[in-house]
Amino acid sequence: MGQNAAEGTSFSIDDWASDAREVIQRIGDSGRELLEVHRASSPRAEETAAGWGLSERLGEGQSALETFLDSAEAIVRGALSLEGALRSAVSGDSAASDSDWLPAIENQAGVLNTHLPAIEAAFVTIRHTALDLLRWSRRSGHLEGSELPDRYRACFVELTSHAPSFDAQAATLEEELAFLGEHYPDSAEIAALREALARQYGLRDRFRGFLRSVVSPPLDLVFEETDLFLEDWKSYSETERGHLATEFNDCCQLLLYYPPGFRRRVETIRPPLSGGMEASLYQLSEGDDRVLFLVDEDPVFESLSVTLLRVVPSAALDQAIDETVRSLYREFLIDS
Amino acid sequence: MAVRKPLLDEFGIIHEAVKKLPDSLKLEFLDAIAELEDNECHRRRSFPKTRLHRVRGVKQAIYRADINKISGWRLHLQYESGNVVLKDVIEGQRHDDVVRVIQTKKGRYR
Repeated sequence: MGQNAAEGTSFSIDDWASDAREVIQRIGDSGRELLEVHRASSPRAEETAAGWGLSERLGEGQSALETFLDSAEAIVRGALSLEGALRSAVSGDSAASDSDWLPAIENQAGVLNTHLPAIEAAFVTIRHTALDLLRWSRRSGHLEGSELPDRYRACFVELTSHAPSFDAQAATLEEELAFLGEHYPDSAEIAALREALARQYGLRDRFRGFLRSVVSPPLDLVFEETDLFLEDWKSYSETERGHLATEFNDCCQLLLYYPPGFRRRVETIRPPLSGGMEASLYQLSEGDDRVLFLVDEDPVFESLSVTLLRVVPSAALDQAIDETVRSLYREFLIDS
Repeated sequence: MAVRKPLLDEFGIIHEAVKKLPDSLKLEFLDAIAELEDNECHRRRSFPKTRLHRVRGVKQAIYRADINKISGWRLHLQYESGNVVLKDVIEGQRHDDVVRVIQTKKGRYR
């Protein structure tokens, strides 16, 4: 997937940006066609599409894709110019004078710090728009035999196939910075760039995960609530509920497109179960509140089921876990 | 003939069920097996007789299928390499205690 920019000399940033803009246009056109054709298939499809604000959100998603590309292009241009400056700086056994490469390092750190926040914000919009459109097309907007969802996915495949991976470049850059770091251990500029690059690579991995989830249809994420959870929920204000629901939803979306991010965001609860069984019980911390929930993959019904069990203040957590575990697993607990 | 979903009985569950089930449920057991073997039900993900659903709370994907709606007698099964594998038949009065039932069959569930 994607050519490696470091391997060939034919890479042209202008050609790449131009191609990517065309692909983005196709993503927009394909998304709108999918929405228009499928929403006409049933009153329920129309009603849900309106309820989810899909038409407006497709517009926002398109703007976000353009922002994403503009910023990505600025970062790639900065990286190419940094690459040239560093190549000569580390070509010998000792580092060249810092006046040769320091401005390029400072510049790229600045480029990253300016553009990464914009990319991160755009990414959230792109991800929610694409995944919600596809989810709608599988559920209430389902149209038997339609090829439009696959065509929409294929546009994202094009986006990745047009993009150079830059992985080899990134590895070389890391080595060069490590080399310079040994000679200039106190350089704040090198440290700042390495920090910005770590953020960039984290974002790159999340974006790749998102693309994989679009290209290969993920399981449907299905939320269910228990009566106990609904009881707990009543004790929260509308504002608190809105905040918690958003955080919880964002966290669970990670299950679809970036499972390592989900595992970092939550804590796993592992009651000592016998018989080689493993619990699928998790806890999400948000401020002083704790949400207990199950994640059960259901390959037969092609869903990833999230069951909300409890939401409690941190002070009540231990008791809630104890009650939940005893109720769920009963005599399955070892030494209970 | 309808397309059949491969159903494996590696643990002799059908034999065990015929021994344990009340006579009044043996025909319904046959109906339940027939539904689990019907590929159309799997394709549509619709199991009106057995109300097939996943057991929640454990990472292993174990499914429950009712032999009928009121007796509480159920089957446990798992999917392995596209096949349905029967794992257990559970008496009516024990059906709420799924985890204990699973515990007694160590090594059977994956």
